[in-house]
Formats: sequence, structure tokens, C-alpha cells
Amino acid sequence: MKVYDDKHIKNIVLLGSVKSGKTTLAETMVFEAGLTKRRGTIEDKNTISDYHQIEQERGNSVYATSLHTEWRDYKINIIDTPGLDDFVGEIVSALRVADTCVMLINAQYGVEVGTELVWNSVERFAKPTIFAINQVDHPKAAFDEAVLSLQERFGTAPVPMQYPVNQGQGFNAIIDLLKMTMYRFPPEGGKPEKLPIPESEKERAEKLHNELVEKAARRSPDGALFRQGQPG
Amino acid sequence: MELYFDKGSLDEDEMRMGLKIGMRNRSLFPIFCLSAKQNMGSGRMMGFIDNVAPSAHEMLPEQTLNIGELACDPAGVPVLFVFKTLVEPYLGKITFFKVCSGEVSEGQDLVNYQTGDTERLAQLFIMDGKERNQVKKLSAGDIGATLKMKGTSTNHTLHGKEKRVGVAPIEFPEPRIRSAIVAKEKKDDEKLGEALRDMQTEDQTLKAEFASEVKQLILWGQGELHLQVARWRLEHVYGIKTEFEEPKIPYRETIQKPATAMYRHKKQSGGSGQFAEVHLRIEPHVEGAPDPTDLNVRGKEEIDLPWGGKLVFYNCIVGGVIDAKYLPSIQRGVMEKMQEGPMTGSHVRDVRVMVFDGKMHAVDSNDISFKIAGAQAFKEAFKQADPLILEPIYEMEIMVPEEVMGEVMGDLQTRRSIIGGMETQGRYQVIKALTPLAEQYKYTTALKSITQGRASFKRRFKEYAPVPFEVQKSLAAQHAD
Repeated sequence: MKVYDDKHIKNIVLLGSVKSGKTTLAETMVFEAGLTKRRGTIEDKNTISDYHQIEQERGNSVYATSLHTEWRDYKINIIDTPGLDDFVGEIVSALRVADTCVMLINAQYGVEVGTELVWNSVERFAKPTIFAINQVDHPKAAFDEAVLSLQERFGTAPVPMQYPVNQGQGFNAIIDLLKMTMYRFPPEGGKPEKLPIPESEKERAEKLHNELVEKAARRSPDGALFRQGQPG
Repeated sequence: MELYFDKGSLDEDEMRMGLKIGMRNRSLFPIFCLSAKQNMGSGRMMGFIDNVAPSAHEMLPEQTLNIGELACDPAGVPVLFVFKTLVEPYLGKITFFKVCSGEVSEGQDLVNYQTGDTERLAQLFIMDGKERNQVKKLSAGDIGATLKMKGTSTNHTLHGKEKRVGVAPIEFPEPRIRSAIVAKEKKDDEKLGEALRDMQTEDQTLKAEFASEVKQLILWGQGELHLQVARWRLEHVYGIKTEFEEPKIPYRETIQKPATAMYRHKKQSGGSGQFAEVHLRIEPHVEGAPDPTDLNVRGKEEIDLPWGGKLVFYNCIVGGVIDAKYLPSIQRGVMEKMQEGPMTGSHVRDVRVMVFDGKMHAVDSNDISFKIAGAQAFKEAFKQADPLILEPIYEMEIMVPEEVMGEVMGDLQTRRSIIGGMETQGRYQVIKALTPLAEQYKYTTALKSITQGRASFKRRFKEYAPVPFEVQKSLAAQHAD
């Protein structure tokens, strides 16, 4: 195995309520990096993460499982946690050693009780957090409402880096608000095609991009980074 | 993009810097969207994690138990923090750790901060589920695992010989629910105790204890599923078949009115005899009540009972009819009956006892006789004093989505609960209720099924309160059998 120095190792923990897709995301992150030839699924009981007999019997995680992926020049250590509050011990110990939390949100439901319960633990450790709104391909996916529920619950800190162009069935494109590019995925998923933002999305993308820039600028310690005429 | 730069915006690198700082001080939580199932979007998020999410060395230093802060420095003293251990069938114990500082290599000897013992890192792994990728070394900021560590468990620190370092341990939440557990086969009893001890070091949110009051082995956990998994592990990893039983409720007994009784203990047929006669009165104990005025109080002792509540014991003997040296024996007899109450065998609380008369015999009276007489007199008086069974009541706080509030309240009412109020909290309602412990068995499961898992609850002990008449009747009848 390739050796990575401390600057090229990231430790993340996947968190979120039951059925928000943590184990599937872990599987995808490894597959996407080309470390596995085949993507396991919960249904086929062959994911890397849920390897215990009891997890396969139940169809959900019981233990926090460590795995890793390699993306570009970085190694990402992933701890996939169970979503049920019963296993808070597994969640807490994973949180303790992670440097970034990736909190999965089901696009259908937004913030759930399960999210709140996990969040109580996240707060104790005060770790940097990414929200990943998953299952935007679900027929009932409601990305905007999910974002709203995050902002209602967590204030102004949650800010979109992306949004889906065509959520629901047939979902295949994302607008990235940092790179200001559209990513369009092939039907089988995987590496997307980079495309210019279509005319119809320009207004929305620019508005959200500006919001993101302002948030990023406000957080910059170096005065030079502040937008002109917009102190702090 | 040009447009934004012209306007005096930030370039991508500056943006990343700003985002990283925002993430670190938690004033910014970036939102991504993806479909993990369709494999769409995870690549972009991984790219962001690479470029923006902080590494261990960019985070605040670890807190230690003995040297203040410890920086994530690959050139520092080797320090491993054990955050998890897991016993796997066929493989044994796996120890998961984070390298908080320094660098460790295969075969290296380290010292356990907590035990002082030396442990060898026989092999080093990076784990991918059940797969183990063997590596030669791991450095600060990385997460790895090793096997065959006998004396090292979760929350321990392993450090290099050159410097003692203990990393601040994880504080695990207290257990929330309980069940009594028994081995199906008697011969497994001892093994069960050992296995549970083992499992508790592995999972510190699990606790097993022997409840001497109700004489049951109680397993505490975070939820019913948590307990079921523990039971599954007992069977499949330790080979012990077990059963869950409803934990017995620690009832209490008390009285509602004064009563008087006497008992004469007499055994005077040949050899050294036994003789004692005790007259006593019992009354409900109320905090701050004045001492009895119709009796001649010569001594008073207030005892805080280990199971809650009080016994106030008065010596009201006049004219030396019972020698003062026998009073402690009478008190011991009373305590014996209070430990195992006359109605259901539960502890008795909040009574005062006045010993006001009796008889002794110059030759045949002794400590044991007075203990027996005291116990029996107390028992007699207790039965006439309108006894009452008390049960533990818990304060419940249940957070539910509004749509299912009605069902949750309905269910609470079938559990003899008193609803104390409701409060809106965001999109949820918080129901407050007082519910007897006896009605809470498997409540988590019931709540889950009523609300499709969208509710949560916490509870804490509030007080002891009288059980309804019907319940008292059936409890007393059960004990009489």
C-alpha cells in the first residue's frame, strides 16, 4: 500500500439517521476510487462495511466499521457508523478520532429525529461537518426543503456547495457552486462530464455562488480576502 | 468566472481557504448533494474532502491526562489512542487506534499508560471492513488496527518508552434501558458473568450488574436493539444461550396510620431458655414531624435507609422494663423486617418506631430473643397500619413529530401515565409525563412502532408513589403464594 504523509490523510466519519445511505456511500467512495471492481449493496449483503452476520440479517449497521479510500493524492480513512441511537457508543468513539463529520441527510425527509440524535453527539465533539443530501434521485427527493430544514435547525452555517439540476427519477446533473460548472453523470454513474452551466440555471447558480463567496469571505482571517466594500 | 473576479470576488484557492477556516470554527457547514446508490456525486465530495476538509494536523491538539496538549506531529513521541476494540470469532481481539503523534512500526514495543504494561505491535493493519491490509508503519494523523493486544482496551493510550502520555478518554453516555438476563443453562451462569465483563470493556455503553434487591442480573444498554445485539453476541461469540426476563420492579412498602403491637418470644423448655417481650408503636414518618408527646422519649435515632427514605427509632422504655443494652437488638429485628417487607418482600421506608414497653427475664433474655421479638412485633403492627405499596415513577420527556402526537399520548395513557404538558420544539412536540417504571418495559420498541422510529425519549427517576388499589392487591397476592 502506498504510504501517505500526515498532510495527505483525511479522517472522516459517516453519520446520519437510519437508511440515509451511509454504508452505500462508503461502498461508492471505495468503488469510485477504483479500489474495488464491484459495488456491494445492502440487498446483496456484500458491502465492505456491513460484514457482520447480524448486520446482514438485519439490513443495517450495528458496528462502526473502518475502511479507506484513495482519491487523487490523498488517503481518506472512513468510519461508517450505525444510524440507530442504540449504537451511540459506536458513533461516539468514531467521532472522537474523525477530523471531519459527513452527516447524511435523506433528500426526502430533511432533518429527522435520527439526525437530531446523532447531532447531539457531534456537538459534544465540535468537529467540522459536511452535510451530504443523499438520494436526490428518489422520486420524492426535495433538495431545497432539505436545505431549508438544515438552516432552520442549524442556523446560517449550512450553505450549499452544489444543487441538483434535475432531482427525482432520472437525476443525472449537479451544478457545482465553487467551480461554477455543471457535472453530468453517465447513466451508470461514475465520472461526470464537465459542462458549462446552462442558460436556464445561470441566474440561480450565480445567486447561490455569491452567497457562498460571501460566507467564505466572511470567514477569511486575512483582510485582503474580504470582498471590496463588504467589510466583515 | 471572470465576472466574479472583476467584481472583486475570491479566486478558487482563496475560497477554499475561507471554507476551510469556516469549517474548522464550525461557522460553515458545506452542503453537497448526491446519489450514493447511482454512484453520482461522491467523487466531487471526495475532492472537496482532499482539498478543503482539515487533516488531523490542522485540528486543535489532543488533550492529555498528564502533559497538557499533544500536537499531531509525525516527529513527536509515538502515541496511539485506542478508540475501539472488537472481538471477532476466529480472529480474536482487534484493537483500533489513531496515531495521535509520532510514528509506529511493525514489531515496536509501546507502553500502556493505564496499566504500565508493555505491549508489542506485532502487526499493523489498515482495515477495510473484515479485510486487513498489512502495513509496515503508520504515522501521526492516521487510523489503524492491530491484533493480539491482551491488556489494552478502549480508551487506553499506548506511548513510546521515552515519554509517558495519556490521551483524554472518551466519555460514553450512560445506559438508558435495562433487562434482566439469565443463562438458559445453569452451568453457564459463571461464564455469562465473565462474558459480560468482557463485553463491557469492548462496549462501554453496556453495563451489567447484579441487582441484589430483586436478585436479578441486569443488563443495561442504550436501547432494546442494543441489548438484543449483546444477546446475539453472547450466543454466537461466547457460546452462551440466554434469555431476557422482565426486570423486577423495586417496590417499596410503607404505612398510612399508627398501629401498636406486642410480641412475646419464649422458649423455656429445658437448658438455657429464650425470653423477650416487646411492645411497640409504628407511625408513618413525615419529615419535620414533632416527636411523640404521649410517650417518654429517652432516646432517638434517625437512620437514612440505603434504599431511600428513613427509619426513626425511639426508645420510650420507662422504669427499665427492658435493659438499654437490648434496644439495638430490637432495632436490628425491625431493620430485618424493613429490608424484606411484610407485604411483598420489598424494602420498607418512612416509618417511625417507638418501643415503649416490654418484659425481660433475668436468665433467659438475650440479644437474639429481643431481635426476634422486635421483628415480629414490627410485622404485626405493620399489617394493622394500613400498609401501602409504592412504585418508582419516572419523568418522561418524549420528542415526537406533530402528526403522531395523538397516538403517543394515547399509548401513554394505557401506561397509567399522568401527562404533564406539551411544548413545541422546532417541528417536534415534547410531551412530558410521569409514568410508573412497571409500565415501561419495552417502551422503546413500542414508541418506535407507533412513530416509525421518528421519536426519541429520555427519562429520569422522579419519586416513589402509591400503586393503585388493584395493583396492590395483586402484588400482595403474588407474594402470599
